[in-house]
Amino acid sequence: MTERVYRFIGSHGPSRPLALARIGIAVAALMELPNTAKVLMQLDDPGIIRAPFLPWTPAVNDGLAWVLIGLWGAGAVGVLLGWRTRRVAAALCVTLATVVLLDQQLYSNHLYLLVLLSGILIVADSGAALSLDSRRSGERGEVSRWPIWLLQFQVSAAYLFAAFAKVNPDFLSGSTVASSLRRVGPLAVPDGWRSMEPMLILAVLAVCAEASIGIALWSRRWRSTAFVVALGLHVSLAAWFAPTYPLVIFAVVMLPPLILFLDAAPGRVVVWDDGCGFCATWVKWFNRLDWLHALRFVSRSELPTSGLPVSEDAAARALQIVWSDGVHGGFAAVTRILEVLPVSFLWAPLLRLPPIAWVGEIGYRWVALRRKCELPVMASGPVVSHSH
Amino acid sequence: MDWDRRTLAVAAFLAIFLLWQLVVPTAALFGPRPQRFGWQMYSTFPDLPKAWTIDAAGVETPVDVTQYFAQIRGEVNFAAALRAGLCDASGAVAVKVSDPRGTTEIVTCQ
Repeated sequence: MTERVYRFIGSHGPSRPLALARIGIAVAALMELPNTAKVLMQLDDPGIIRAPFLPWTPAVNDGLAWVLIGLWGAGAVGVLLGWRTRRVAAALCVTLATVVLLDQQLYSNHLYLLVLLSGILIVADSGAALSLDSRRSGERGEVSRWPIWLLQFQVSAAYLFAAFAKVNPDFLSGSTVASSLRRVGPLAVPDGWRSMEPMLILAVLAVCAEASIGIALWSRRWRSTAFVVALGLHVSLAAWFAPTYPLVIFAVVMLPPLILFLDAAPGRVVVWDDGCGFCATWVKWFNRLDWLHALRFVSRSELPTSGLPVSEDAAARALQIVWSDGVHGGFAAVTRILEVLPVSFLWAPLLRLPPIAWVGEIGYRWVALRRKCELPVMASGPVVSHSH
Repeated sequence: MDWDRRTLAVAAFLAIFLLWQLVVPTAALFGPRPQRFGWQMYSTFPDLPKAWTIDAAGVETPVDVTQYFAQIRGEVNFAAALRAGLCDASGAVAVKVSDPRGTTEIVTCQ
């Protein structure tokens, strides 16, 4: 056990997912700022009652509120840009913690989560990539693994305890869901639908969704399902529950750290037809969006010397991806590429499901037969292969 | 295996963090919901206390509790806050606060 802990502390993980999680946390902090700033400013009103955690906590006045707002904004921008990342993460964490502890009315679960996540960024080397720090001192491909694991644990624990807390008669009766559903706007839920049975089903589904995310994130087999369920849960909450803005922020806090669970280790090879301008354009975009450097691109003309188990004929007919689970072509290849891109990994697993996969394959073939291949695009060399 | 100071510090940090993240939310499950620091969002719908201001003639006037707070959240102990702050905020002679569990208390303002 001791040796395992020792080895774990000394182990390393990829820097780019951590950097993207850092950016997500900073964006969430910036989005939460106007929300909390409004409450901070209201607390200066003599007609508003204070609810301090501790009797000696200073009263919030305009001056203190503006100092905190300034530190919060500057800290979040610093974390976003990755400028002296650990120090600004420390400043942000202390500021957020101060805000949370000033008055009970300032507490929210996502603000508390931001305190913890920014706290972990102090000890994580999240500025090692995609940051001003890395532009100055050079990007490092690997960083300590344990802070990454702490972020993963934190997100998973939040989902799991959220599920456990909802296992109570009040929530499971569906009354909390019925009261929280949107009443105005195009997505408003009519009162007639707020009857016991559908609300009870929604309540049970919510508990199952949160619990399954918290557990499935740790399973290689079920992880992609967890991504889809998490995205569906947060989109549904923001769309059909009120108030919208805090729920959008909650989604922005919770979803970016999920990238830390994504298995985007280098090794996937995309084989594309460099005799086709249409394909080259797509591959160029895949390459641009491959922020985790999970893909290596090999053109059809490079195939003979690549040693890859793909024929030139297959590469001419459809995009191919070679990975540990075999070779996939056409729409299946596109799906597997999207599953490792940060912009699409949460929803791309849906594309594997029938009938989406069947329709996608038909659509892919239809487009492939009608594509326009203009060779000059190939000559300009639009795709740069990553070397790892 | 060399447990240098840095490795020991990391191990201690990990242990404290994990303990905090397991013990606090678990303990919160055994109290009334929702609790702070327990990831209990939307676990129940908050019940607000009822409050009245009492003037010099002893006349009780119910107050809209929500107007005295910047944000209504289930985790806030509104009853305690009202008992401590409604006198100053309302200028009444006394205030009466009834918490959601049915306990009623009259506070004389100084």
